[in-house]
Amino acid sequence: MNKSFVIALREYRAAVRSKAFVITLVAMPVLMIGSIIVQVLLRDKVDTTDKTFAMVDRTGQFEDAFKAAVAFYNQAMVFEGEGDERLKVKPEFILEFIDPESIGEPPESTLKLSDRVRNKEISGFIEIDAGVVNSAADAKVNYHSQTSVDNAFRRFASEVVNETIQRIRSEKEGIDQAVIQRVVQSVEVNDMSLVERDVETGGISTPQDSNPVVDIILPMGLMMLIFMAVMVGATPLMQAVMEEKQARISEVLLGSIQPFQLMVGKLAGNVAVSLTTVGVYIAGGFCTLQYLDQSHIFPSLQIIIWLLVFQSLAVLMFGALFISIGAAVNDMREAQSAMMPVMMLAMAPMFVWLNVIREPESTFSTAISLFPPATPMLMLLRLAAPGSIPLWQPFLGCGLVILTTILFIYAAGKIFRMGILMQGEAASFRRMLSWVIRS
Amino acid sequence: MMQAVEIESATKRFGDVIAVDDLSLSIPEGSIYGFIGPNGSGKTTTLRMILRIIHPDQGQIRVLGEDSFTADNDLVGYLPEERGLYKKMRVLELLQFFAALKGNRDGKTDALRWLDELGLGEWGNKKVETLSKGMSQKIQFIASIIARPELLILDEPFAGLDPVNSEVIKRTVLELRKQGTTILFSTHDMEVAEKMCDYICMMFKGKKVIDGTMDAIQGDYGQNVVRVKIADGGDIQGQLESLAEVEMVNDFGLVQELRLKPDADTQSLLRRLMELGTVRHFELCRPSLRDIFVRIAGPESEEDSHE
Repeated sequence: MNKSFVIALREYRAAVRSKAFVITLVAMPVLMIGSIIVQVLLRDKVDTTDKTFAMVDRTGQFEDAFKAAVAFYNQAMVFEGEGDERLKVKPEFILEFIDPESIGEPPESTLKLSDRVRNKEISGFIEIDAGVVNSAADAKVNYHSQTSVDNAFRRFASEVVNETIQRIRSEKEGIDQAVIQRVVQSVEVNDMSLVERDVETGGISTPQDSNPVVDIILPMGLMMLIFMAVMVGATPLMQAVMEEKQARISEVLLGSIQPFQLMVGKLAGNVAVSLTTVGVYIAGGFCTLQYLDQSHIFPSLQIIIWLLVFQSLAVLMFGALFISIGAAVNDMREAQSAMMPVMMLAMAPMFVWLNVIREPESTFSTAISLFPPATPMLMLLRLAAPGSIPLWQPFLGCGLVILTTILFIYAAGKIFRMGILMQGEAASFRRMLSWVIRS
Repeated sequence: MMQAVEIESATKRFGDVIAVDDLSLSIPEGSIYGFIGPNGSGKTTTLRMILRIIHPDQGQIRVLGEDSFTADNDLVGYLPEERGLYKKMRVLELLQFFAALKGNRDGKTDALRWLDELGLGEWGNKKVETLSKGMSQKIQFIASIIARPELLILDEPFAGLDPVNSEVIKRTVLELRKQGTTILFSTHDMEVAEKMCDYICMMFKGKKVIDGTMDAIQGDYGQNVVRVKIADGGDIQGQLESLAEVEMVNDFGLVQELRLKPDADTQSLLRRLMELGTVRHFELCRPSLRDIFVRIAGPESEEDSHE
């Protein structure tokens, strides 16, 4: 074990001192924070050139309402800030009212206006059928544009049309607008947390607004931390074994250490590297939340311990697989095809995490989180998600992962021993299997 | 005399290929033991078996009195034929790492001493990638001896070294032997083996074909080589080959080595040579290892031994 420690120490030092490690460590948060900053900066950088829309109103009842609404919109919604800092953040709307008589009926009218959109004279147009106000069966209001991505005007027009129709209909029925307002006034259903009894004071806590950060983003972040620890360590680990094999360092090492000790040393070094990474992020996250005065949403100590346990196991479990690949192949091209299935296995939780976090206690969530390759990520996700799962589940999951890890390390040891001395062709899956079973 | 290594009927197969076939030998403590033979003759496989990197399919291998297959081999130093170093590590750090792997906690002192002795004293803090090929080979050599092994196994230690560095390594090897280290090295350079080794084992196609001291081997294979120098132009080689006493001619240009037929009379040979031209040199020699090897393995094997 002493020799494994020497290997682990070298691996750890080599990894932590490498530029790639520092870059990855810094790049992750920089990328995440950077993307938020970029989005904030770009929010002000939208195209604010005014947009012209055409309108064919075959009822003849919407023009005034639209004129008023556009005037209000251009006055109140397009600018942000006051005085000197008043800044245009959206395009103004310019409406062109088209006489239904002159433009004719659809589809000819629609074609003419479509051509005008294509000629960039207008951004889009809206056609209101005559029967809309009377709820005629086939009466429609259609908005046409080149793309449905920018739908700001459609949403604006929809509000104006509906408000106007409601007003016209209520007038027709002789109902006071104010009455309608009172009748349709909606009530919001609040999303609140559970309450609990305070052990010290005996009082009942006040419910908090439900916080999506705590409910979804935090558990997901913890899960991603494991995923990242596995991924960040995996490729360098595999490449290191491959390089040692290519540069014939393996043979020098094997003169001094048994293959299994060598592999265990490498895995231990890799776990230490991943713990360093995660440690830095946990500390960074804690400090950031403290700075933002949000430290109450920082995960509990229990969750942090589970995180470290599951993360170490995941790095060991997948590390053993990646080491086997590194020992069995000769170059990156071969490695990439051999890595695919292992990558898929590691990424499996990504496909189901949303289902699991929505119902952490469902049978599906329980079963999938007890599937060893997925356990570290999904069990942690369930532990960190709101609600509580029976404590035997993470322990059972932990046990299963340990068994799987031992199995993987045992198999990897055999493949590693045979693979690192083999030069030339890459070992086929069948060949690796025969090493595991026979040697 | 105690034996550092004893191999009894070891056989190793890789698939259908028999790499080592029923090999038995013993290496006395404190000796320099040479493994010779062409590429693919089973030398490296034998060395790897002695190191427990691979295990024989049959047979026993006892190293420094231990025959357990999981024996820790801290007392054995190894310089493989195909060698590499971590390029990004600093020389001193690397040597300390190899020392620690062998359980030598005092690696730094030893490393500094060896770097000095091999003329690399300035390079301790340089990264391995900055070293020349000869330097890295010397570093590799230091790595194999840094833990003061009792048995040192060197696979082709002189391959690719220039004469100066080759001499430095040779001197160090002899010095280590003086201190009691048993040295086992493989080479396909028969002349080096001839000059350095107390014992020689020749392997061919997985089998041991010769084993013993240089004297004993040469004794066994008789004195039937004559080295001649004849001052005459023309096709000397062709004329020499046509002589009745001569089995084979090894032409070195200025000097020719004649291997004689078993019952050849050297006096009548000398008379015939004098008829060919002026004999400047006539010497009855002991056969070289290469001659012996070619005789055992057949002329085609000589091609292999030059690979």
